[in-house]
Amino acid sequence: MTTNTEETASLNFLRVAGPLVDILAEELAFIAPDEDTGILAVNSVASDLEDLAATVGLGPWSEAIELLRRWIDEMVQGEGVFNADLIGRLELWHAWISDLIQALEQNHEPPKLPAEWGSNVDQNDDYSLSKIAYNDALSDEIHNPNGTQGVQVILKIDEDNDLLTEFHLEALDLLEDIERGVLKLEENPDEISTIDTIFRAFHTFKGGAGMLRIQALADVAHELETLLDALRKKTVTVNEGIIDVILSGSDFLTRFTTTLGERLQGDRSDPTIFVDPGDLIFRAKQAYAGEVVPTRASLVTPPIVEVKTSAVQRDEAVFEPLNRVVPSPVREQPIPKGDPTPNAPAVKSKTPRVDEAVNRLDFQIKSSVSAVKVDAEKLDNLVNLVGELIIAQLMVVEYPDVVGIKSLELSRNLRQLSRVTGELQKNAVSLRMVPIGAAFQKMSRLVRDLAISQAKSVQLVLEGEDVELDRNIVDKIGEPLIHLIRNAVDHGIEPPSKRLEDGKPEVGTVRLSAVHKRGGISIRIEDDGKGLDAGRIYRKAVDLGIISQGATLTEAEIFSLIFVAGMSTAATVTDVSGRGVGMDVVRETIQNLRGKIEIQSKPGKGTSFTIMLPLTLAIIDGLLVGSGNDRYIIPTLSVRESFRPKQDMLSSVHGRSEMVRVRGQQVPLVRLDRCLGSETEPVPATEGIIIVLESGDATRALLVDHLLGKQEVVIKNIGKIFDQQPLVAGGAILVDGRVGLLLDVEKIIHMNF
Amino acid sequence: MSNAVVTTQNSSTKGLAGRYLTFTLGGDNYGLPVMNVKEIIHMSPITPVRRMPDYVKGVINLRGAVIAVIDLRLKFAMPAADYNDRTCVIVVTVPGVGGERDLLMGAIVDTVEEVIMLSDADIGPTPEFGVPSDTQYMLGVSTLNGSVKTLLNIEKIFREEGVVALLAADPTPF
Repeated sequence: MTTNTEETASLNFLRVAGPLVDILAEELAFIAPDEDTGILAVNSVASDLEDLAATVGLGPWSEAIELLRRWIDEMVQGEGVFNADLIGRLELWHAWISDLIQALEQNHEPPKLPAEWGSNVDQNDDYSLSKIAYNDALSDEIHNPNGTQGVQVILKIDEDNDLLTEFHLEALDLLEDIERGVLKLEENPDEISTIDTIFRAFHTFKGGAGMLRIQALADVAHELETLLDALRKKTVTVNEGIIDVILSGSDFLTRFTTTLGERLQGDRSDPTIFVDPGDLIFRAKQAYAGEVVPTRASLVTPPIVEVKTSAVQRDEAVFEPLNRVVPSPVREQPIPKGDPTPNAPAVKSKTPRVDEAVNRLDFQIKSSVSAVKVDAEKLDNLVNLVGELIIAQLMVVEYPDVVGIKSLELSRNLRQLSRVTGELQKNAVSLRMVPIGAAFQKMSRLVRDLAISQAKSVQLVLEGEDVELDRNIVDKIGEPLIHLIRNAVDHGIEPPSKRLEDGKPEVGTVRLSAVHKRGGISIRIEDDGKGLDAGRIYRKAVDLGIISQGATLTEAEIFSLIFVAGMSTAATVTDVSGRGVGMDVVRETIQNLRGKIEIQSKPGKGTSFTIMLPLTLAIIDGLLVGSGNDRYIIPTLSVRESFRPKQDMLSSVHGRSEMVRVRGQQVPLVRLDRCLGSETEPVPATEGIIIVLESGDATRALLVDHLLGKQEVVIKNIGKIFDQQPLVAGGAILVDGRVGLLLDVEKIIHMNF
Repeated sequence: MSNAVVTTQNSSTKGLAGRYLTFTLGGDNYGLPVMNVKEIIHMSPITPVRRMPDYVKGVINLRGAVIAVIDLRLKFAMPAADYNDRTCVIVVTVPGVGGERDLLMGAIVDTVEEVIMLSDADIGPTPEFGVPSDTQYMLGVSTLNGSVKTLLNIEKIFREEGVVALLAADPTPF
């Protein structure tokens, strides 16, 4: 098979563009006029396609991609919401690019660009992609193996809803196991337990698919199970091509599962899913026979054969052997002993089928014992109610009249009540906690793909995957993590040759770690790459007008500049990042989670981002302070220390700006009552308490009247009406039933006054 | 002499029929559409939020939820009154727009009267006074049983459209 750079480029294009276009399709299903749901995803797709177009010569098609980019920009900078006209255009665009991809895969004429998209280039021009030179013989086999046909799977969404939903949830877990296992396998090809895990995952998948009579899926799962079994028995050894096939198999099943998920949520009225397992099965067989085809399979659309699926019919055997749609490969494959043979006619006696069915059910029952799936909303309701129970209990226990009752028995009972509700709360909160490993795992695949596509050598080290966080936080931290990891690989890690030149190990390391710290958790993303160039950041910020020429900034402050919108300093646009859309969103997301992010970097040595997050969104550990007659809550995450200042620690500039010396450093003093608009005569600072607030790059000494205590509080939203008062971030019910206001530490620290 | 009260024709009073909760502010009678009213509670301790318009009194604890309360007298630029044991807080649901959730807010009023049923015939258009900033909050006027009640537009009163004051201390990084 000939491989030339053109082919690699086109394959790269297809490989990257395909999933992007899929994402676009998914998002288009959700987009509605006058809303901005989906804009981030669509924007990201447009950016990625644009970057791709820059690296792969696409001729007039890059104009179409540019057009998409322009439409999105117009929308973002204009109304900020979609309208019917834009949606129509996007759908048309999506249709066009889907056709294009298909045409490329099948070597057809590419579709013409619609005239109104205004291409100046003659579309009959030759450009690299149209010169794709697949090896003809191989391409025939890949695209037209004998007898293979695509299959339209028709789901009975209403009737089989429960079964399908369960299958979907289980499938997601299994696919995660497979992907994780494969990445482990790449490191340790001989690890039997890993092979075993992957084998069992495909096996269970096969069972589930068989039970639902989704034959195409079961077929694929079976082929991969067979392949994994061969690996287990060491009749085949692990190599790159095999890994690729397994991942392709997993991707195939993932695509189906994702589409199934959409259908189940009733997004589209179409209860069918098209699949074509032919290529994949062919490649799996090839791999099994020791003939490995290193290219990725592509979806083809030959004539459709409709196959109905149904839920289990109890009196009939539920798994038919694979005597249907099987491509006959070029060479005869040796049939392994003892396995149901793909080319054999239907098994004659009933018993083997029943055994198979029983084994499958057995597997599924066993694997479901250790955990239960609970509707997330119910869980949230439960946790909220428990929160309210805690408050109600406190209000009773602390009520002055109750406190005044002199009864030993009552005291004892109240203590018991407090103890039990405290335990209840811990349990309820922990129900919502999931190990952060769930978010970390996804990064392995990302790093692998990024490294491959950039011809870099990168290893991802994960630490602290067991650290648990509120699931809502884990869900939301995924995107920022992805972005930071991309940055680390894209801009941090140097190409292998450069690394060797600099005396670094050829393989770059990205370390993703989580650890408990001070009432919250600390997530760190560090790389041993080339570090941040403070000078370049500074200059770019001046160019963009973010800081004025000649402004003096500390190194930490310069690094913080990268969080400002528009600041991405990638010199060349790579195929996965480089637009300045990301870091500001990263910081905003983290701040919305009431967390903070800090940067450290050494030129030539590497960069590390540290994200501090509270354990849960709703409950925070708070310091209660008094200012005037008001009470405020400050998250302890942001408090470094507190003390009553002595006169010799205080000083001022121009008689106006006050400072206090904290551990040898002069820290600006901020009076809380002043921030909140009080115009009374300032009280001497020595009569108040200093709370030292810190966030990434800055420290402030907040002066309050009283320190009232430390309390875990449930944070409640106070409503958009209070957006006018940016210093207040939320409210919490205090012990006496009144509301305490949560201060927004970031805003206080960055106030100009 | 501008004693003549000109009735506006621009706002139709069709479709306003329904149940209204009536209440008083300084001797004047008002009505709120009942479907927006969630509950009525007595005054409870208010936690003030600083640097807000004077009619935003702060927040209260409503069975574990933190909701904003505004003083309707101050909102309508009437003189403030002391709160007594007849003073009530009407908790209203303000419909969310564009995917926002519905808001819960409280309005402090002098007294709460009763729920009445109004038909289209009972409701007339808002008179056009010389103070257009007042009439924007009004749906119409009812003259049932001889007593004049001003019917209020929940969304206009409680939704702070266009009144987002940019604080002088707008945070900039450096």
